[in-house]
Amino acid sequence: MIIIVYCSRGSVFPALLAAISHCSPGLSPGRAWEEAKTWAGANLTTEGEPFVFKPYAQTSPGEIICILKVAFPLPLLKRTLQGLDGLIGNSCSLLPALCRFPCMAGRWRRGWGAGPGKACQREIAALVDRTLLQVELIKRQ
Amino acid sequence: MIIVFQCFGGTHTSVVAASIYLGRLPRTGRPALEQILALPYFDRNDAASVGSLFFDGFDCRGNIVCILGSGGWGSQIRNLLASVLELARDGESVVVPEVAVIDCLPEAGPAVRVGGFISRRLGFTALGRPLVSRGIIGSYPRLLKLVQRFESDPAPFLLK
Repeated sequence: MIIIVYCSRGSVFPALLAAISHCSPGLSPGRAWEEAKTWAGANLTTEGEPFVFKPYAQTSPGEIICILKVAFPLPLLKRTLQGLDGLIGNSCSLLPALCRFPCMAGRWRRGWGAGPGKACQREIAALVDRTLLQVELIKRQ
Repeated sequence: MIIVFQCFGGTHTSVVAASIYLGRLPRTGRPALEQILALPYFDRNDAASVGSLFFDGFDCRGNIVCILGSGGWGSQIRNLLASVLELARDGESVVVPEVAVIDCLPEAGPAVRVGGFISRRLGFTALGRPLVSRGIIGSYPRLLKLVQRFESDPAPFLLK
């Protein structure tokens, strides 16, 4: 079993957009943004929650994609998840994918009302590609 | 079971509580300053290792004992661990061990907090370490009580 955790800090949208891009690679940025807003409206009570952890989709048997929003620094989160992964045994792999993009700095201030900019879209696509490669590697091992 | 002793930096109260639990420190009376300073993780982890799980040994039942520093986000980290473990347990043919997290931070007195800050954050080990270790000796009865509470009933400490 592989649990892929897309993580972002402060807002759920970067992680959500990455998860959508992972599950529906051909989706246009505009449609992905609409889907993200719809999903958030249906699954989250308020955007202000400091901690959100929700399964987003099951892409194949034994492969679950989750969304995680935290208030604490992402490197700390990564170390904790990697430590947990090492402890829980070989039957389950945790794969943290951190949405930590410099281009988000402006979005933090302006909010996510207009959706992600082009630079963010590129970063999200690159993160998803990297994650898919790591999943491939875990499956081969 | 995996037993995690958690505090702010993962280097003072959690290390001492884990050592009490593992039998490295006495259960009657307070330990000597040298015993505290000789603990392998005591006052040695810095900010870059916060969030990392450090293996500290096996208890008499073969359970893994770890130390975790969580900064000021202890409760969020516990929520995260509980959520991930719950999800992992839902999977077929996945055996996930039980995890108990013992939060040692409330047992840290002012001397431990100030000494830890001076030693680990400001880097003045020569000044901070004696203060934090004396603070730990002061907090020792409370840490011992916490460990005994966990030993007598681990249920409230288990992540569900």
